[in-house]
Formats: sequence, C-alpha cells, structure tokens
Amino acid sequence: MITFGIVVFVFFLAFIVVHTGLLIAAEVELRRYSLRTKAIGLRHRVRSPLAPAVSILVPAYNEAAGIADSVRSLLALDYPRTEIIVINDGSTDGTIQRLTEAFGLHRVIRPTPPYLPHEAVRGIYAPASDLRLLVIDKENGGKADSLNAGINFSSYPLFCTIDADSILEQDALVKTALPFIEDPIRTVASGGLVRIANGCRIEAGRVAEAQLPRERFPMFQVVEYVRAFFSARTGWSAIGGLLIISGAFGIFSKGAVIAAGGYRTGIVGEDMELVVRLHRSCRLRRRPYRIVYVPDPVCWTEAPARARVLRRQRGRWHRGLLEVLFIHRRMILNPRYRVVGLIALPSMLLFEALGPLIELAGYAVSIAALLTGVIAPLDFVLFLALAILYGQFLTLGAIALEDATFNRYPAWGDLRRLLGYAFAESFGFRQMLHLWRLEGFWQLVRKSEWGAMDRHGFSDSNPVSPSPDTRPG
Amino acid sequence: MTAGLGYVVVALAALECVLLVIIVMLRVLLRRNRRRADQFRPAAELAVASYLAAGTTVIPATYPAERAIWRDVALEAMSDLSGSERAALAHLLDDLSYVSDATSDLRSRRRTTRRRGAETLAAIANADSLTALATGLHDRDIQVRMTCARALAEASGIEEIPDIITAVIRDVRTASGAVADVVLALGREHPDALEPLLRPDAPAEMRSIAMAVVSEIRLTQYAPMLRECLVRGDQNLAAVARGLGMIGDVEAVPALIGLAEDESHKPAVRAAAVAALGSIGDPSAAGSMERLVRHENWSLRATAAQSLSGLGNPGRGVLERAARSPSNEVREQVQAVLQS
Repeated sequence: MITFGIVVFVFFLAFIVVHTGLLIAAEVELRRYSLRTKAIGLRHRVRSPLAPAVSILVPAYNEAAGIADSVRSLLALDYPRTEIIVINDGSTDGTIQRLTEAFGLHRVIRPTPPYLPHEAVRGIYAPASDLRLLVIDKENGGKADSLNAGINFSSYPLFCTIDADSILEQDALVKTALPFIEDPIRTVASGGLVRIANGCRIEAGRVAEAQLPRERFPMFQVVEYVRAFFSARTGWSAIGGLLIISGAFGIFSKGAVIAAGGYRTGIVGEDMELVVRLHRSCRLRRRPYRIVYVPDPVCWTEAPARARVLRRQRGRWHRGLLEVLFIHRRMILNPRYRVVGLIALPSMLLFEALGPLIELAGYAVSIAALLTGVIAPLDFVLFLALAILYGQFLTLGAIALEDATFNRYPAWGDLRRLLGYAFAESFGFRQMLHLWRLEGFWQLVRKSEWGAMDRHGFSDSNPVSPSPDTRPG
Repeated sequence: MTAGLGYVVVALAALECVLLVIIVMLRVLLRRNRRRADQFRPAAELAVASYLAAGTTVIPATYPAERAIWRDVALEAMSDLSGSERAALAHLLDDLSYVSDATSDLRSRRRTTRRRGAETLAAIANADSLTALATGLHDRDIQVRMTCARALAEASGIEEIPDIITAVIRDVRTASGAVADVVLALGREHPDALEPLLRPDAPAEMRSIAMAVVSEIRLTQYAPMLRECLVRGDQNLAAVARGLGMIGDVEAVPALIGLAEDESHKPAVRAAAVAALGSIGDPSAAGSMERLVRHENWSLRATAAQSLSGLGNPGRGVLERAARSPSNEVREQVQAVLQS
C-alpha cells in the first residue's frame, strides 16, 4: 500500500511539473501570438496571390440533415482559393440526393488518383455552375478512408479537414493557414481552436452569438475544452510536441501526408495517429518541419449533452489513444524523436492513457489506507485538497489565458458559471469521465463504427448531436 | 509531512486567489477598453466616412485612447481603399500628426509599439514616413523589418532597393512568408530589382520565392534567365518550368519537351514541364504529349491529358486518338478531360 502511495505521489508530482510547464509555455506562446496577429494585416494576407490554395475535405456519413447548410457556409469562407470536396461514405439517408438538389450536381468522369488506397468510388458529382465543389460518393470505409479519398481527389497543395456538422468562423481558415503562409517550407500541419456550440445562437450555418451551454454536461466540457486548448495544446505546440490536431478542424500539407502514407484506417484515433506519424515521417526523412496549433481560429462543434453519448465518446477516444500509443510504441522515450519521443508521448502514456487508472486506483487505495489507519485523516484530506486545488489551478490559469487573449465569454455571469463548473468538476464529473475512459480498454477488442451518431443538423431550431471526433486533450 | 502538505495546500489556495484577482482585473480592463471603443469608434468611423465623401473637416482626437481608436479606424479603412481616397486619408493622418507619432513609436524600446509604428507608417507611406521606414529596415525585430521592407518596396524609389534586398536575403530562412510578400511588392513596383534574387549565387529559398513571384506576376523579362536555368539543370527545375509556363515563353518549348521526356528526372519535375507546355499552348508539343499521355506514371499521364486540351486542334486530335486506347486508365483519363 505504501509502495503504491509512493507511485501515486511521484505520478502526481510529475503531473504537476509537466502541466505547470505547459501552462507557462502556453502563456508565452499566446502572448507571442497576440503580438504577432495584432500587427499582421490579415486582409493583406488573404489577398496575397502567394497564399496557398486549400482543398476543404468534408467526410460525411448520414449527414443529409445539415450537409447543404455546412457546404454553403464553407463556400462563404474568407480565403482566396479553395475547393470543397464532400466525401459521402456510403450514407444511407440520402446525403447525395440532398447535395444534388441543393447544388445542381451532375455525374462527371474523374479517374481515381492512386496516391492513397481507399474503398471503391461509386460516382463523382460536380455542379454545372462555377462552384468549386466536388462530391465523391464511395463505399463505406470509415472516416479515415473517406479522408484518404478526399486527399486523392484534391487539387491543391494544402487540405483542410472539417466535420460536416461543425461550423467554421469566417476567418478561421486564413488564420489556420497563416503558419503555411509565413513558413511554407517547414509547416506540415496546423490545427485550430475548437469550441462548443451548445447554447450558441446559430443562424444560416453561422454562430450569430457565442453563449455558454445551458445543460450540465456540455458546460463541464466547455471547462474541459478551455483547459485543453488554452493550456495543454498551446503549450505542447510551443515546445514542438503537439500530438493532436482535432479531426474537426485542421490544415495539412498534402505532400507531407501522402509521404507519410495518409490516414490509417481501421482505428479510432486516426487524427492523432496521423499527427504522430507526421512527426515520425519527418524525423526519419530528416525534413525540417513544424506542426503547430493556432489558438485563435474557431471551429464550433456540438458536445454530447447526454451521459450515454458522452460515455460512448470518451470510451472511443480512449481506445483511439491506446491504439496510437501502441502503434507508435517505439517512439516513446526514443531520443531520435526529441520532444515528441522524450516528453510528449511519455506524458500522453502516463497522464492520459494510464492516468484514469492511476487516479481511480489512487482514490481506492487512499480510502483503504484511511480506513485501515495507514494514513492520518488530516493527511488524507490535505492530499485530496492538493489534488483538487491543482486541477482548479490549471483551469483558472487557462481561463486567465483565454480572458487575456480572446475573451469569448465576457459577461460576469459567464465567468461565474465557468468558475462554478471548474470547481464542481472535481466532485464526481471527473471521476465519472475516468471510469468511462477505462471502458476504452475494453473497446479495444470490440470494434465500432465512426459514424454511428444520430444527426439533426445545425439549423436554427434543431438540437444537434455530438461530433464524432473533436477531442480536446 | 502533514505540515509540509498543509503549507503546499495553503500556497496553492493563495495562488488561486491571486489568479482569480488577475482574471477579475483583466475583465475590468477589457470592459473599460470595450466601453471606450463603443464610445469613440462610431464617431471616428463617421468622421472618416464624412471626410472621404465630402471632405468634412476632422476635429483632432484629444484623449490618447480616442487617438488610438481613430488610427485603427483609419488604417482599417485604408486597407480597403486605393488611389485618391487612400492618398487623401494618408494626408489626413499626416495632418493629424500620426506620422510623427508613429516615427517616435518606431524608436520605442517596446517591440509592440515599434510594430504598431511600422504598420502605421507602412499604411500612410508618404515621403515623411518613407524616411522613417528606411530606418526600420535595421530594426532588431523581424516583423518590423519586413513591414518596413514591404512598404518601401511598394512606395519608394530605386535608392532603397539595395537595403530591401539585403533585408530579405538576411531574413529569408526565418520568415519566408513575409519575405515572399516583400519580393512580390518589389516585383510589382520594380521588376528589375528581382534579378539579384534569381542569380545562381542567391540562397536557394530566396531563388525559389523569386521564381514564384516571377511566375505569379508573369515577368516576361526573366524568361531568358529561366531558360538558362532550365538548360543548366537548376536544382529547382519544377519552379523554373512553372515560371516559363506562366510567362508563356514559346522559346522555352524545346527545352521543356526535353525535360518532360527525360526519364532521369522525378515525375513531379516532368509533370511541371508538361503543365508548362500546356500553359504555353504551342502545338509543337503535341507529339511529345501523345507519348506522355500513355505513360505508366499516373500524375504524368493526368497532366499530359490536361495539357493536351490547351494545345488547340492538334491536342484535341491526340486526345481523341488516346480515347480509343486499349488501356482503361488512359481512356478514363482522356475522357475526363474531353468531358470537361
């Protein structure tokens, strides 16, 4: 019991060191980002003929309800040269018919490029007008397979992945593409900030007013996302150890992704796996590279509002994480991969993959130790207080960073709710999430489909369902 | 242990209280700034619009916050304006002593202030600001240097060009995107100035950017230089071929055909040559394309099919013949082009 206590204490100490370091790195990075973007004329950048063209890939599985709105909002994005490629992954709800009606599509002949393998293409559709839209209708193969098909058919050097049920802000694309414009040789991937759309007022496929969710579970997730995006992800990006670019929104160099072999099919965490593989591929080829997170661009996505859906999502995410760590186990603690191999992946393994297990076991052993008299009640209470206070310290730090930079929830009432939920999450929600994440271990042996979600679309009145992969971690 | 743990808990709680105070102070500050913006911005926007529409006299802003908002509104308007309206607004900003403010900002020790000064001077870009911008080329901050270089490239005479060239060569490895903007501005205003950036002794990154700019703005005067690069076997042959294609240099066709057919080069380089031949549109390339449209490499075959559609009747003839090819891949590729 004492040995386990020491293990938990060391784990906690390592957690504090790494996460405090990330918070400090995030602070420096956010300040640098704010200074830089204040001075850069974004309009000037958008108009530059040297800005690289971007293919926007929208994988869609049974998205008939909202696909037309999503495509319309993507067509209206601020960016000089884009094309939109919708990949219908064997939908059974009439997604293709909906698109055909909305955009006047007709069947065209396009040979399938051989760069990345994917399921058979059933047909390709394009509008009769000049709209830069292409719809690929293919056999069901999963999200990764759809993205590989989209990459094959894309004509531009960069591609952006976006979930069909997510909403991009008008200038999100140009801000996320900025690293490619500023450093076109080294940048291979760039991810943007994802926020939770529950509670926001949505009009014509746009977020008209950003508001905090009214429901309990999405509100907890807002706190989680603020902490993850403003502290962890920004911090990892600052030190060159970014391992996740949300499947919901990211821009990639097509050449680098093809060289790395494209998206891996048959796993859940294809977005994280690709980023880790890009690190691996660039290091092995000795190619100077950058994988960055841009803390400002906003992609709005729906968070699960029901416990059942949240439970399924977290189990799936955890399974994805475990798969990625297993696939790339040789990179862990391998000095060849620098920050990624020596810090980022070991942290991911220790704090994210094994963290729930250690923390829950820690609770159980601490209670047992208290009951058997191994530790004094005061020590137990102090240790518990330390754990809770540190979690809140990280959240407060992230809220302070968000306030200092973008302040998207400016009302005093918003702050009260954020702080309230930040305090409350330590008492039940966090432990429940850990339990659900442990289910990911079991899910490793039981495969499930990526698109098994009920979708309603982002219309003004419809409630919406969660995005399949917008993990904040 | 209990005491130690107790101290840590108390320290952490105190730290959280400090963080809370910081958050509250930040919010108070942000709300004050928003209130000021709400108070001053509409008046500033109205004043700028009235000045541009009817030449209405502008009353100078008195409070520093009001002046800052006024400057931001004017600079935003300038980014959407051109010609006489832009010049009029620049003149107004000079009259309201924003140029002298920005010039002293450029001497500040704070990087943010210097960047703001450089942006203001770059937007105004009159004779006085150009003198200040020239000093900004030697600033220790790369963003200030590149902002000044771009503004000078857009607005100054030829005497500043050597300093701009020195600045871009110095910064190309660390800020290639910003350098590309400067080179683009230089290419548009002073096309001759790109010559040293294209020479073989220029850094590879610099040459690559200069070639992209030459292609983008189709500077025909560089066609002989690019042809020379092609014959010499430049290390960036794809960019050279792309440039010649964009310029539409007919004299480069034989060399481009040679490159397209040379099996020793990578398919990407050969495809760039094929695409260039399609852009130039010289029918003499049709024979070579007829072979390449049947090539085993997918990208070469696809580019050749696409390029044939730009070669007029001879190209169309080749496509129609290829559409009867026994190979499925070739037929599919050609039919897609014929359909489009």
